[in-house]
Amino acid sequence: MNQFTYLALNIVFMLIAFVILNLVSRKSPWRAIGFTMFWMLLITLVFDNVIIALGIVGYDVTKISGLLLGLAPIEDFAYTVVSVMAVAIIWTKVTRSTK
Amino acid sequence: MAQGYTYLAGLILSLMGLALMDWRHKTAFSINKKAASLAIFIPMIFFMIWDVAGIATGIFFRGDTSHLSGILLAPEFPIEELFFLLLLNYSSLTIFTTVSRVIAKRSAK
Repeated sequence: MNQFTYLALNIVFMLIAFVILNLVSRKSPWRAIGFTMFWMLLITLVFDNVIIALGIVGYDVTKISGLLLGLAPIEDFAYTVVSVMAVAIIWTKVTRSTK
Repeated sequence: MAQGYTYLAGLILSLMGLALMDWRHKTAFSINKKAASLAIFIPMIFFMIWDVAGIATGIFFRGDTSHLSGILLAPEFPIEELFFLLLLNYSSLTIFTTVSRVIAKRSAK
């Protein structure tokens, strides 16, 4: 388990998320998801840099890829990608079925 | 001592901003309570499992505690993380419904 990297962890969880979302969704609003993704990634870049600069979160440097955007490991953006897709797809599904 | 609540206070302030926008501009819960709850809380549970896996494998951890309240829900899992995940998904939903509205308006023209 010691060699398990952040990237490997993300691949596992992103795969699980995409498989589930693919089963749930039909006709996802990709255009809106795309624009939302852009703004959320931008906000994440700012937010993540602030909390890392303040020392709120730390990473084992031997387990991250080393690709950084400012101070933020590129792997952190996986959370945002999954959040936008999951939130948008669940919202669309539920609002369609309750209307 | 009071400094230990900076991060939590920032998260709660941000959440209050989103709630105000929700109330004023109808962006999430004020449109559909059930859809907003499911869209925010289901991914939140998923992210908590993801977090626990990251903590268990030693990939990330709680940093310098001077900006943290010290309240832990599990080892290396501060209460702030719960509010962060809520903020993450609530932000996604707020931007998504807003963007969807703009797209709908433009295509109606």
